[in-house]
Amino acid sequence: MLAAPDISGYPALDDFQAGHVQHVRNLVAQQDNEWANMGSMLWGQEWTDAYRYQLTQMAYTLGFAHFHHLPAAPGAFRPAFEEIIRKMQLPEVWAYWRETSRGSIRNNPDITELREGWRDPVFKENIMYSGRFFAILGMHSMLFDSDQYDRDGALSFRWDPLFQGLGPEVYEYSLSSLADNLYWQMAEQGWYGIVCEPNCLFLVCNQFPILGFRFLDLRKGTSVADEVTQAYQAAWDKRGILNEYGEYWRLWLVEQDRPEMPLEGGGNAWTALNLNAWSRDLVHRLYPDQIRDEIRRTPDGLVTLAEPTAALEARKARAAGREPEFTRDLDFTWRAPAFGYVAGCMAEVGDQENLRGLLGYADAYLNPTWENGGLFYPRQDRSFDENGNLIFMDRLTGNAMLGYARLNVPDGLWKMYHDPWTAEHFREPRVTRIDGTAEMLRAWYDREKALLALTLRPVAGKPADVTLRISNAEAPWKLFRGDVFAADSAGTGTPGLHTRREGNDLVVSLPLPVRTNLTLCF
Amino acid sequence: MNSSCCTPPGSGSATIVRPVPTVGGSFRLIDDSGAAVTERSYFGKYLIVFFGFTHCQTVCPPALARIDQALEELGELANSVRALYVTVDPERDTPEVLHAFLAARHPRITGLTGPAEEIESMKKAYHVHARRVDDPDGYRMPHSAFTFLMGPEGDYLTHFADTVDSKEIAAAVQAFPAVR
Repeated sequence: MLAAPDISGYPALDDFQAGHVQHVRNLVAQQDNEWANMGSMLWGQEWTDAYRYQLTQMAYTLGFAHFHHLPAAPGAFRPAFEEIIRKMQLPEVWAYWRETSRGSIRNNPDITELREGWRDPVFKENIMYSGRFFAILGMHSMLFDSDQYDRDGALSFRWDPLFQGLGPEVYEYSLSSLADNLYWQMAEQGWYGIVCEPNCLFLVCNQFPILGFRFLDLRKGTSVADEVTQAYQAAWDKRGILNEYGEYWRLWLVEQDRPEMPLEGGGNAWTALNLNAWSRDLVHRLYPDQIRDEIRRTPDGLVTLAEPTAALEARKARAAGREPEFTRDLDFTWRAPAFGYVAGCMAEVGDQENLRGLLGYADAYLNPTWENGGLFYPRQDRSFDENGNLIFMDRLTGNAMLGYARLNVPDGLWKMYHDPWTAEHFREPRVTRIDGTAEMLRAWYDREKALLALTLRPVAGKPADVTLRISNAEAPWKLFRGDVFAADSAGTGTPGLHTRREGNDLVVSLPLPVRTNLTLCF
Repeated sequence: MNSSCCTPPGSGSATIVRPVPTVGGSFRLIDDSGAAVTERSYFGKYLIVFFGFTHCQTVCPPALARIDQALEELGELANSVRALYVTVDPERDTPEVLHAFLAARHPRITGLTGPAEEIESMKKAYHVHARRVDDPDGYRMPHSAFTFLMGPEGDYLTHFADTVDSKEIAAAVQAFPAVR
């Protein structure tokens, strides 16, 4: 009797990680314009929990799960990833720009009237949308070895209100035309970056297009990302990227040529997290001093956020040479996704101890909720409970960023940027399609042992029939289900599991009543 | 940015717009001899285009020297090329100032200046950043450091970042068919 290899040592998602991935799948599987559990604190899709932010950070979450944990299962992630890309093109995600593009007296106090706006969300400015969209499109090309979005018209924004009667307007782009657009806008701005809302240049939002340039370079053999990062760094070296307390400037008012530092919390972490992709040394050097006043230990040994007002007082004290007296400000109103920004940053810089404490706090105080096999933290607009514990939860943190933090690895974004997959990876056996409702918990190809290790389970415990398509599965092979031989390329089989060849693919069908290991040995 | 716009068959009244970033375009400026010029004045030649200002202490001197060197390395092929130095500081860089500056240091390069709005228009067409910064000695004009290579009909071919060397510029010109 043939013995199955032991695959328990290969990486696998734990229940929390798998729950976050399943929650993303649940959300993106909703019908168009159904946004249950994604509703924003403010109307108009202008706040930091807007659909575009949730969707793109959910794409990153899937990307991390695939790249760092389950590299041999593109089929487990590609459909949801592409659904996110499709939903990013729904008008409810981007139509806010028609009004936002008119400008803002709040963000540009020198203007007295608003300008004419426009609809096309990636034509100019709005890097908060276009940069993120570009980043996940690029990530898709790297993860799935695909140029499917780099065709003329592959990306389109269709403006067609039901009763307007003027006929649809469709703005069409490809990945390359979007990249060219962003590149030249950056050049026009002297490489400081592209604004989000008119006149508002956020450091963090300009990190996303850099990631996009890097991924597009991989497809085209160019080095635009190197050029852009050198120019970006040179520009900010002249201006200075930090304030007097060693914090990243949050935003820059272009016409007034001055910074602003809104006291919302998590700003350093959000910038550091995304900047780490290409500027790791700087981020790691600054992180310890930045984080120490932004978090506090709870009496039960967990980690939570300090109120930004209290953190600022602590920074001022240190700058004055005094030891800070840590205070609480229970009058502070939490509104920004600071908890998620900080968790994501801790994961990226590898601050595992504080991350464990922060995630522990989330599980103790922030109402972790399981639905249909998915894990999320539901919205809570109140800042504190009656005991002064932070209980605020925004949609970006609850739907995406805590999953993002759990699925990232130390320097995970940096690794994607500097050590992306190459052609060799795509020649290996891998699951390229899954039919039937299953969660993929393990998908690892061991090149030395010529072994593909897979672990699946039914979603939310509901048994299902599952069919896997395994590409690059050249004979001879032997397949084990659990510890038992199941089939081989010579045609030997066992009841309840079917295999067939389709070209270079092996198609495996089986019932999935419980968590199941499959091991394909070559 | 230009847009191509069309109404495809069978799409009813749908208007499809495909915005495409462009580089370069028409201009109406004055060269350093005082002659009025447009983009058509240089049709038939490859153009090496650089934006700067004569008071520049940092970016322009090495960039102009690099263009000089590239022209040298092109040898006879340099006859198919014109190098243009477009000021971003038309207030100070009159044709006379440009001529004196270039004749003394870079005689193979032609200076272009003109009304501020025409300069702005050309900067926009080439996505050039420049911003006035006052300092105790007057003002500076920090600016983009791209060198553009344009084709014989004014079409954009490529551009180079400030890290380029003269050999790369010359090689890029040589990669295109020579203009007789």
